[in-house]
Amino acid sequence: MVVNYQSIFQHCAAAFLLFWGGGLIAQETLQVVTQNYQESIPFGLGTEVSIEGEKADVYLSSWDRNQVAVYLDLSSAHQDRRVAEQDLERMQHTMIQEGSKIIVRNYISKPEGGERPESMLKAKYTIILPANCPVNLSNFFGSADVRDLQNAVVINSEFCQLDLLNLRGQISISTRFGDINGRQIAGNVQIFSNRSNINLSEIQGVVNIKSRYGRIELDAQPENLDLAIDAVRTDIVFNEPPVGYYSFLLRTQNGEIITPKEMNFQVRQLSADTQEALYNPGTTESEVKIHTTFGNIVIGPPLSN
Amino acid sequence: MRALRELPEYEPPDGLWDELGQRLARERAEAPLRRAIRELPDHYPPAALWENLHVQLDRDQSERTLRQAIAELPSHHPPAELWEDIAAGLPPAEDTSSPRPRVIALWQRPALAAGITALLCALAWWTFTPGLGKRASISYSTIEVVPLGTDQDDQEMRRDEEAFELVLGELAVHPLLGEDPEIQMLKEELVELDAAREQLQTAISHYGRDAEMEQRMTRIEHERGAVLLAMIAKI
Repeated sequence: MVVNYQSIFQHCAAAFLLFWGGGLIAQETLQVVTQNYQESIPFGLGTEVSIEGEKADVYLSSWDRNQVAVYLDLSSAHQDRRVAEQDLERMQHTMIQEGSKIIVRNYISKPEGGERPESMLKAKYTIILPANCPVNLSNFFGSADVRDLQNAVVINSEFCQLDLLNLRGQISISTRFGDINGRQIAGNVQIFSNRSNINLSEIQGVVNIKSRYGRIELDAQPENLDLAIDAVRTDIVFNEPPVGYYSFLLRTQNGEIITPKEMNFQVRQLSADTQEALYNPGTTESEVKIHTTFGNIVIGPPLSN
Repeated sequence: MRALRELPEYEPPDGLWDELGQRLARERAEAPLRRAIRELPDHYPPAALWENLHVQLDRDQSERTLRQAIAELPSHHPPAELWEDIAAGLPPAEDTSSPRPRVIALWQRPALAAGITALLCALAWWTFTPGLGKRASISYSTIEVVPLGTDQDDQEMRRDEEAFELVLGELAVHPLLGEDPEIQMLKEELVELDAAREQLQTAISHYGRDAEMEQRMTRIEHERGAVLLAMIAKI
């Protein structure tokens, strides 16, 4: 068989040009008009911050000043700058203080029977506040990056990606069609998720998760964990469990339980469609309880000491 | 010893002793003053002073911005008809003789100018500074994006919807599957996904179509597809 290297090279070159050229042709330039608002509000004992976002990317973090700093960008992108400017006028916002509550909100003035905006509209919040400031965030469409808070965090979101880092205290999260990625989450944690995947690592404290349609993957610190997961049509994976730090009670209906041989789980078939697995090292009161239906439970290989 | 004896002898210059004496006398005279300076108490500025300085600097910066904004204010002249309309609306003058031009005394002019300037400053400050600690600005930039969605995509979506209608129609007339609990659950799931899809479409019509919205729509479509396949498997 004679290999025609020249022909192969020509085909590769043509494919490369087609791919690269196609990519270049497909690009288009949009004019972006951004209206920026900044406000700094003194923080006092009892002050709490409420953010009500729509199509917003929210970044929330803390600092060591007694000030709440709010930076809000409302932006509009379109091929035609004048159209972008006109559509930007539909984006509204409020920053008000009602008693001890600071309320920040953005929304779109919806036309009644009028023309829809042609531009891509978006809000972007950067909010920096004292770590002990309670926060209440709701966001529909967009994303939220919340980190370094130590008091109370309540998040209510739909179609919103949540990234959480270093949160302590009372944490309550409700999400629909929005995945959660969390690391170093500790305290009294409640999560209600619907059609969302959850990925948590280095969790501590009392953690309760209720989930419908999704996948939960987590790992934990080797101490102080009481975890309860009650799920429907959700697969659950617990990675690298530290042996001897907590007991496990696992149950699935119409699913499968997979456990590592090293931990020697007691597996029982409770009924034709229900399986249970127990593990108790007898050295701890910390407990991991997982219950799911139409989903599998996988306990990964244990953390090597 | 002989070598030492043979060493040459040197005398200091004549005025050196006098000069040394004068310097010592001067230092003796200055000693109390230096001691008093060393014993002066230390004073540190209060912490608020730095904060005030910071505020003052911020204010200076704001004033510069304000002055610049005032300098850039456009000048507007009223249309000529306006003066005619005003003149027409005025009562007729009693004295028909030519009016005497009003004379503003020379000393009054700087005061008048200062008054107008102060008024303009106040107006501009009120306009550009909505409140203490607040700032607002506008900026322009560009981004490169890949266009999303074509008519062909919409056509494909319509064909997909026909497939859903076909399967649901089949299930409605099926003699055994009508009451099947799993089919009921799949139907409920489809209703939930349809509602989410509609919610997403409404959001796209309000906020525009971007990559993030497309990704979310794609995920919902995948889940709807999985439900449809599960229904077909039951049939």
